[in-house]
Amino acid sequence: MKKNNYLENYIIDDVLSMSEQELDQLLEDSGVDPDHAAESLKKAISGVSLRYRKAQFSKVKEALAASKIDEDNSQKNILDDVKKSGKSAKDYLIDLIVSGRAPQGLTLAFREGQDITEAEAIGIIDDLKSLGYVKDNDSETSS
Amino acid sequence: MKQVVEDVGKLYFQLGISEPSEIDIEAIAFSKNAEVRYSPLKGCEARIIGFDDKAIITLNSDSPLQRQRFSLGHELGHWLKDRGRIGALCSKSDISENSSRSTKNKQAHRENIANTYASELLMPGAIVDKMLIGSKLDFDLARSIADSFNTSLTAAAIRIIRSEAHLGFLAMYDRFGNRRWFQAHPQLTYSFYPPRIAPSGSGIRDLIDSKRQSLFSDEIDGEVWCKDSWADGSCVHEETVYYHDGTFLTLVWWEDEEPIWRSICQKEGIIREDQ
Repeated sequence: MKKNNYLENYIIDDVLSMSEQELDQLLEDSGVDPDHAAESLKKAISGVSLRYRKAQFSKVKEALAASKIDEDNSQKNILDDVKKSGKSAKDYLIDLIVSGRAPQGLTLAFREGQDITEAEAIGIIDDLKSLGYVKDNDSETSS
Repeated sequence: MKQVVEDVGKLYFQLGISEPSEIDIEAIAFSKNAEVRYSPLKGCEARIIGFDDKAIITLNSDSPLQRQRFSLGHELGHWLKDRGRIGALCSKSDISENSSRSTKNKQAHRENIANTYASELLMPGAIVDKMLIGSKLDFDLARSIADSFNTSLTAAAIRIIRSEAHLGFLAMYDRFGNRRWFQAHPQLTYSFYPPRIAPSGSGIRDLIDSKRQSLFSDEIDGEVWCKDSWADGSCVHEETVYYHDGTFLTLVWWEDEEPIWRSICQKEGIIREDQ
């Protein structure tokens, strides 16, 4: 450790060992208003914290943009599985999820839901495959 | 409601969101492991499918942007609050008819909470409330909030009322003067709720009767918008705009809060009505 580091540690230890009154007195003796100094320190810390959090969110946005570039838009061949089952995609989906086999950890909700189309049922099965709930080429679930 | 505000407040603190322009709702969803996709949907406005700690939210690609944003906030609300639950699956004919009343009530409650999340995510109180300090309750304010947060005028006006910065209400009436719905400041007493029929002497009554689709904005007699005698001799701000499809939106604001507080005191037994 360099001499300067020893000196810094010594000063920090010295400051930390002071009571609030002693610290206030030291600041006042140096011509600094203790309340103003405390407020400035709080602002400086919260400013650094906010900048850090904003930077983290910027990274999330960059990751989102990258995920869109990498996104594989090709529709997986779900129709084959559905055809093999001899059911409509909707019935296939309902059997898959509702027939008493829905596992814990599955979340499903529809906003202003009425009736779904075959295309939407295929889309849902595709989502379930993307999430790993349904494995490719079979109707086994990961439950 | 309080829990939703706290949840969103914490989330936005973690993400360092402090300005309306920083509310990137898709990135917020992504930060919570929820991927957003767009597809034409006929059976619903949006859906969420989640498994373990990941989710896919699909939005109706044919819907207007503002509706998509609200739907995304709604589904994200389900993800934050209802993870691991299955609700409103498929169509009514498939499942819902077999659901008990209790189950349906629970689902309706969850939908309301998800709507509250959507509203809070799109227009967080911590940011909105600062913009409302010292403001007048009118549609200029609602438009300013709607523009800042990229929401609809109605959603912004509802958010303003829910923020409780102004004692008043937002109400929608149809061209026959019938009230469709309203959102009131929680401390308004029944006497100050918008009546089922647009009251005589109000700006909205004037617009309806004269079949005009213009703006009414004025200070009128308080008794017009009060069912009892609390507001006799006082004034109230009313602003009414033609909305669409024969509907009108009315904002009523009691800048002079005295009549409201007198009615609250009477309701709580502190004073009599004739005092």
